Amino acid sequence: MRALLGCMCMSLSVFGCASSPKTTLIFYLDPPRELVNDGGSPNDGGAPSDFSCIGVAGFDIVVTSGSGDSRSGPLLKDTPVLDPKDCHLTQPFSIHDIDVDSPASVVVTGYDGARTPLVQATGRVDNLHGGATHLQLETLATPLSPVLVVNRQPLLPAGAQLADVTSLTVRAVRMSMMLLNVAAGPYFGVEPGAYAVQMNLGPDGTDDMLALTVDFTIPNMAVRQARLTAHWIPIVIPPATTPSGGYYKAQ
Amino acid sequence: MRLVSLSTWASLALVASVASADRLAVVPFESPGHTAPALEAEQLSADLIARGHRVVSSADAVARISIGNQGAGPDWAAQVMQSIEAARATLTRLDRAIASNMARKIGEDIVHRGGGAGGADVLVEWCLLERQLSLTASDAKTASLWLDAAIAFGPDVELDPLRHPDEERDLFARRRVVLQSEVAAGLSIATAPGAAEIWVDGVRRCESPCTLTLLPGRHLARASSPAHAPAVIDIELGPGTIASRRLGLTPAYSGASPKAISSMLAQPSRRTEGASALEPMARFLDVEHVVALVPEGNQIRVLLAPPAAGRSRVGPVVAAADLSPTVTEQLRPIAIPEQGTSLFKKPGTWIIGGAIVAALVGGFFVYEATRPQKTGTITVQ
Repeated sequence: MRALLGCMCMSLSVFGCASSPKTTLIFYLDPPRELVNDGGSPNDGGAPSDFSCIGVAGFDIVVTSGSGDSRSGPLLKDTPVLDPKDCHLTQPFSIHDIDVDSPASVVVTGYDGARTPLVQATGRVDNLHGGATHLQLETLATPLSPVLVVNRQPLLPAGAQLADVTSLTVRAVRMSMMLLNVAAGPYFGVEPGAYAVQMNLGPDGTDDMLALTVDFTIPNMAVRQARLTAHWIPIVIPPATTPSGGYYKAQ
Repeated sequence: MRLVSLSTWASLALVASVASADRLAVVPFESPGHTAPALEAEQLSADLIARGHRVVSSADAVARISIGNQGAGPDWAAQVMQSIEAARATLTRLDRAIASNMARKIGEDIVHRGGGAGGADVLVEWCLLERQLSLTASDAKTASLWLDAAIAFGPDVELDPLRHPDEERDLFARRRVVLQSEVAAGLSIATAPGAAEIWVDGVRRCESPCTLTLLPGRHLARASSPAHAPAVIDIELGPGTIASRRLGLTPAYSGASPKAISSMLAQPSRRTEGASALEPMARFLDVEHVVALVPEGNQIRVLLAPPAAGRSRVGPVVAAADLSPTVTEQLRPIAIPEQGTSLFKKPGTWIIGGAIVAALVGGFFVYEATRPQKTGTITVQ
């Protein structure tokens, strides 16, 4: 009986003395990298060499673990990504109370101002004891759609705020071809507005100097229309000396 | 005084040796390509009896097992009629000895089944066959007795003109009138358990207990009940006689049939199953062991069911001459090997060990229930 009681106390003390350490697993979000020509792994350079993140206005993070899904909601950037090296979160984002021994997966998606997903990274871990791991953003659009950047606030009527706008339409003056029709959404408020244009706008600056009309819909106000011109803004990524990509800016 | 003492010790020793003897049943089984070793079984039974065992004879054991399994209805009656036809044809070819032998076997089968349950025609035909045999032996008196027996068995049977000549049919009809004019006899039958079907001379007559009025003469009766082996009566009733019979019905053997057991024993992969199937047979025969003899090549395999303590179910294969010593050896129990560890002898060790394991498991569950769940943080940057 004495041995039994001793054994029970010992087992309880052994279990009781086990401490529960604070575990944090960090995912580092890496910008997209261009695949090498042989279709293999991303290049080894530390700098981004891919333009798919241009136009990203914010990110959304979903963490799935044993206890269910946790969602960050829109994590807006101060300004949209106009330089590939800016393709990262403005601030670190953390989700707590995740079971350290359960597998977890993380999905990070980058959206433009029209909530069109442009890039995405996924990662999965068996538990939270790994310390740190990397998430590689990759393009979701192949081929890449050209990005049109519009500085909208100066185009609004006096007294109107960007938050008042319910939709935005961009057309080419020539034949009135529709380029964009955007309803205000969670990523709409990032200024300037950056949108991936999937139709009627040529890639790589071929529609440089295209004449555009921009229409804003604001409740209780007449439709505001502005005439702008799309200028191609080339981007040079070192160590290259010539531009290999860019975006359109409506001015 | 010394003489009395010696005789007392001797008698006690004798009683002890008889008390330790086993009740056995020796049952021969056939195997593919081999008949059942009936002679060897009889010899073995005699040897075992000589050694002080009480042995159910192999023929009796087989009969008791088979009686509940073999039908005595219309199918059986049709087969007997075919046999009678064959015997009659043999007699026509003047081969009287063979016909007589066939008739004897037919008669044994009919009596063994108490006249069966397939109608009176088969009994009448059997008696008329015997009458024919008696006539060919110039034994008119016996022929007359067989004719009376045929009428007593089937007073309502009309003889088939294709089988029986007019003379015989006329004689049958005339003698029937005479016998029917005699004082009838009575037969009361009771069974335990009751409510058994009573078949007299192949015809279902009543449910026990009951009393029947019959023509004087020989009669075969059969009491059958579900789950019980049929009981039979072979009785001669004189004119005006009233006889009573009480039959005890024994439970029918409901285990695997000897044929099925033979089939199992013939297959090495099912031999153990076949040996197990012998154990219900031992219980049915009310013996301690059934000694099964199964021929294998020139030798015989011995199976003891249930086996003696420490013995295998499937016994050895031996020559016929070695059967008796082999069975004696197989009947001797051998020591069951002790368990390899002394822990089996120490229940206290098991109790304490179980308590420790229970304490550990309980402690783990208590700990798991009380501790906060281990959680962590995922940061994306």
